[in-house]
This record gives sequence, structure tokens and C-alpha cells, in this order.
Amino acid sequence: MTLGDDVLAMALALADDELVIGHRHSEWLGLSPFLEEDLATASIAQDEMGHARAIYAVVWPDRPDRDALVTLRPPAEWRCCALVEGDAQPWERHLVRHLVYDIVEGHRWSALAARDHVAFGALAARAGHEEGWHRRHAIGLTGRLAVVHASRMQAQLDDLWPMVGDLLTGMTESERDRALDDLVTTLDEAGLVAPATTPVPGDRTTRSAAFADVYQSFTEVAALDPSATW
Amino acid sequence: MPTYEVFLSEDGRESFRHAGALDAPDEEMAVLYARETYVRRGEGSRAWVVARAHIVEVDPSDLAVTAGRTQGRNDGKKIAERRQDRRAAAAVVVGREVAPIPGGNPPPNDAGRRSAPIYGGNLSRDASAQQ
Repeated sequence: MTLGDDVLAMALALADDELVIGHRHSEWLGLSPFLEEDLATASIAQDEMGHARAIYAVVWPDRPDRDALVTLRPPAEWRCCALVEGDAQPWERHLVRHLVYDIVEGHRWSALAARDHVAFGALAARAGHEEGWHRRHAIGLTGRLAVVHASRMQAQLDDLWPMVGDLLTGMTESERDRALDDLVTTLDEAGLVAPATTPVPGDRTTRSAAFADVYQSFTEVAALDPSATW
Repeated sequence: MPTYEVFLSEDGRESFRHAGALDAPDEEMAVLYARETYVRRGEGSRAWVVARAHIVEVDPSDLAVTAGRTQGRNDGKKIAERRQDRRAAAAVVVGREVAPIPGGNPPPNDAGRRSAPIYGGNLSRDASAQQ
């Protein structure tokens, strides 16, 4: 199977985003305000990392050691974006990011499946099923919290908004419009107001300052002994 | 947050069993948390989420059996023993060894086997009749 460069770039961007946001979600394990949320966060984090793994298998069929793709890949080869790289503090920032990210994620899978249905159709369907739950969780929780903490949630959204554009990288104009329409409508449903500026997709060639931190975190154990067999 | 009780039914089974409890702000979130907390690995194909406040508990004193009453009590042990005896006897008739049931009766002809069946019927005949 040969994938076009543009499809590969989109796929790798999604996979790296999934892996990194999965790690950022996991920073809340054991720390969420209540147990049920701890479990839901763990579950969502694992789903996202599972998606990353599945995409890596398509992007690099000749590199069966998926762990090495994460723990031994140099930072310059990563294609994640600033939105997922940033740390997950405080809790409302983590929640608003989870909401924004998961609303657009469904559209990213659809875009991938539209480019190459053979490679990504089945994966997109599977991921879409899980994404439906992530969306419901994100909308449900942020919506309820926004009732009492509207300004805190809104402040996080305003702050994250300039980074939203990278979630749309590689999409056609109509795909972008569809994703943004959905995002604005869903944020409204959750009691938040999307800022007026239209997010602009970047080229994902550089990592944000926060990447070094999360990269160090998910590579540090493997770095102790790169030759170890896990 | 209110507490909800979660009940699951395995695929193809009619009965629901209690899986556990959870706290959630409301029913809609309780449904989401029920899935993430108790059904992540397909432990059930159907689930009920019930607000604990909606459960009506019967006063335990209303459940106490009348003192000294013996008729109509059945803990199922005798029926289970009879079934195992019959199965063992049937295996002897067809010349098949029966593996001991963990924690259950010893296999037929075992030294520890009780001499008289609890049920007065002819086991061999019963067993052949079943074939």
C-alpha cells in the first residue's frame, strides 16, 4: 500500500496528536476531583493512544516496533501541534482542550478516510465509535461546569483558541468549514462562546516549548536502557 | 453528587446483576460513567443505571423466616447432590470416567462415597432411562 505524501502527513499529524494528548490526559490520573472522572480520563487517554498506535501501523508498516516510534523517535520527526503539547493544568484547561480536540478529531478521521478509504476507512469507523463517547463526555462535563464556572472555562477557551488552527491542517476548505461549524455549535451547546477569529492551520514543522517536557516524560524510562526488551 | 447503582446483563441473559455504584451529577453523566467504570471490556450488553434514592428497600425484619419453621425451606443442596449422583451413574453405564467436580461430590466408586443415596430411587435404572 502506498500512501500519498499529503495523506501520510495528515495521518502522522493525527497519530502524534493522539499520542501526546493521551499522555497529557494521563497526567490527571489519580488527581481528578472524583473517581468516576479519573476512570473516564484514563479510558479516554488509552483510546487516544490506541488510535495513535493503529495509525503508526498504517504509516510505518515496515517498522513493527511501535514503542520505538514513540520512545526513540527524535523530536524533529514529530508532527504534533501546540494545542496537545501544552500542559494540562489547571483542570478546566484540560477539559476545554479535551472538548475542542475531540470535536475536531471526528472530522480529521473523516478527512483521512475520504483521502484513502482502504487504509483508513475501517480505522476511522472504529475510532469514530469511541470519539462519539469522548464527545458526549466532554460536552456533558464542560457543559455542566460552564453553568457555574463560565468565566473560568471561557478564559481557557480564549487562551487555547489561537492553537486550534493546527487541528485543521491538511483539510480542504469545505472540510475545515464543516469542522469549524461543528466546533462553534458544540461549544455553544456546552455554554462556551467560540472567539470570533477564524483559526488558521499551520504547517506543524516546529514544536512548541511545552513539547520538550512531555517528550522527556514519555521517553525517560526507555532512555534508561534503549536496548532493553519490554 | 447523587449516587447511582449500575446493573449489567450479559449477552443473551435476561437477568441483570448488580455491578457496583458510582457518583454522577445527573442521569446523563451517570450513563457515561457507567460505561467507563463497569462496561469498558464488554462485561455486559445491557445496563441499567438507577438512582440509589429511587431504590425502595424492604425492612429486613419483614424478611425474617418465622422462628422454628422448617417446611418449605430449600437451600438447593439436596437437588444439586441428586443431580451429581445421576450424572455419575449415567457415566458408569456408558463406561466413561467422570472428572471430579471441584468442591462437589467424589466420583463414583470412590471410597469416600456415601453408602446410601439420599434419593431412594434406582440410580442405574434412572440413568439408563435418560439415554
